Amino acid sequence: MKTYLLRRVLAVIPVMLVVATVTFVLVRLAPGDPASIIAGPDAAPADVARLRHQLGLDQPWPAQLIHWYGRLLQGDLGDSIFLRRPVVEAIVERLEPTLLLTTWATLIAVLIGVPAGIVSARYHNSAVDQSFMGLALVGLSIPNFLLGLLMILVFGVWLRWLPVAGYVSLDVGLWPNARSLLMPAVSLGLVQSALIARITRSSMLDVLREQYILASRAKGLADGAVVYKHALKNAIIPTLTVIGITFAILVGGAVVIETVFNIPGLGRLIISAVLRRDYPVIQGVVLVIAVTYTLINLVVDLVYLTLDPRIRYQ
Amino acid sequence: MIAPGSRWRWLVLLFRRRIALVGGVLVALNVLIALFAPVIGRWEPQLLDVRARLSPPTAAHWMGTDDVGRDVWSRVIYGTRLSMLVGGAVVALSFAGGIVFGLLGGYYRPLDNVLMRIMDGFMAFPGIILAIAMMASLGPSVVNVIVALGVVYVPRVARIVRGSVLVIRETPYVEAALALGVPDAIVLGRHVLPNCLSPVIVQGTFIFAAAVLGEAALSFLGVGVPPQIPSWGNVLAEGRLYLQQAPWLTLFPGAAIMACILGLNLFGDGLRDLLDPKMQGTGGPSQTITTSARPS
Repeated sequence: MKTYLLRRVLAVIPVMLVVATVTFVLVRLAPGDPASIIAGPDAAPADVARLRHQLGLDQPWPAQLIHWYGRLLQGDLGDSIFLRRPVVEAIVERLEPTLLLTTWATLIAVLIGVPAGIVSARYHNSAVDQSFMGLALVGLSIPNFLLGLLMILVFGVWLRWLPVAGYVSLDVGLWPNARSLLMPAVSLGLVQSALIARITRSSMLDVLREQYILASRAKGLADGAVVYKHALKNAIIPTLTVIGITFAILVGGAVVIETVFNIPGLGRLIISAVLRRDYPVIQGVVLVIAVTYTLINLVVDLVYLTLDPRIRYQ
Repeated sequence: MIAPGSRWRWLVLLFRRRIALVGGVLVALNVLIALFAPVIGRWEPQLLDVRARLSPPTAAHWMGTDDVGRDVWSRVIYGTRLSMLVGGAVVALSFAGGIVFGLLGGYYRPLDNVLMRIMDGFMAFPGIILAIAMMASLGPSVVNVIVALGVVYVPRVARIVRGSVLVIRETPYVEAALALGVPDAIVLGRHVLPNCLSPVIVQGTFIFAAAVLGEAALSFLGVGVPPQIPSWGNVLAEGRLYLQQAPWLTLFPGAAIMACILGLNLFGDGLRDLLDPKMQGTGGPSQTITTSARPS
């Protein structure tokens, strides 16, 4: 158990190393010299040269790479070219909407997906099962940003129930904040609930075929007790992994949804950085998201350990 | 993979399932529209009909026009062509890279660790985020969208291929080939590769769908295909600005995307059920290899 734990935690290191290297290389793929981009089109050659030296761009690239690792270890992501301030600050400022959006979306996805999956499995091949799975398939075929646009059209423009776009900070109050995030979170979460429903259903079906389920039915346990008490506990484990993966999809989706609904989060930050060629910001946001995703998967794996004792002894 | 002499039997088996048939028809429809876009399009997708700006659907403009008077029907039709091109090219690119890395990693143990750690590193980025970051450096163009999305899916293909290779390399027929002194390259190409293709092919339909969605999302965000090129994402991006006055700019390309992705998902599900009955209804990528469903 201890060695597994240690191995799992240590496995994060090479992943992080690749992540850091990829983000370094990504920016170097851009045509042109970062120093002249930062200095702007009107800068004198001498200024560009000075900046190049300041940024260490005149050193060989292995030295630059080592320098980049060193800075990352200190939590230094550099300065934004356009915003003229540390990237870390800009990211922290934009964290709230994105975090709340993905949390709400995950909640919606789980609260719809898991029950739908369980019911589908329990009434396998019934009309309920087939219509749920049909819906899930349709759900998987709608891009989240399209669902967002359609919801704006129906609930914002036609029915006028909800604000068309915009974000109200949590400081204003929980309710106005939740109201501004309702449509974005539903358009993100609903699509994801389809995936969760499908995984929950299939792992439930697998578990329901196990011997111990047959045994508990044979000893006369009520159907509900068998399904919810005995089967669910084991069937929920694959769902948990999917929830880990879901986070990555949701953060990616949040980037798009924030544009649809004009929410000033990480997604807007990276998209405006791309349009302004503000490379340090792009690098920083991508890095923060990848690192968070890696850590969430680590946590999911560790939660596994406490849920499923069988894994501990492998 | 499919034994000669029964070349088309798998298609018969596949389309005996109703959902796969519906999916196949939808996919075929998209491919036909893509091929015959100039015939079906009726208008030049770039043509500006300034007098008919933001016109609702009429007999002349079946799906209305956009803010500069371009015909939406034509732009959706040509958007289909672009989506099919991007989807096909991304599948080809991710297969090429993924199969090579997967074969090398699965077959040569010392390489495996390094290659798979690199793949893990790439998979730590949510796909769309990695694609956005690459587009920032590469600049907006159709080819760059294909490259960016292709790179995103290489590790996913590589993982599946590697998993299959690990099993296949232990089989007696591979051992026999090696014992006979067949060179590695031929063993890999002729004996290992064909037997690890079925899960990859199933995955291919899902990668195709993801690439179509990815292109639409990148273009919608303004970091994908340049705005003058007709693409579903580009039309949706314009439509967002005129949601109130011109909902047809959102509804028609939206319906086109949904029909395309639904078709691919149904087709992929059917294919997976056929090649790997154990995975029925999970919607996830298949990691196991089966030979039971292979028509012989």
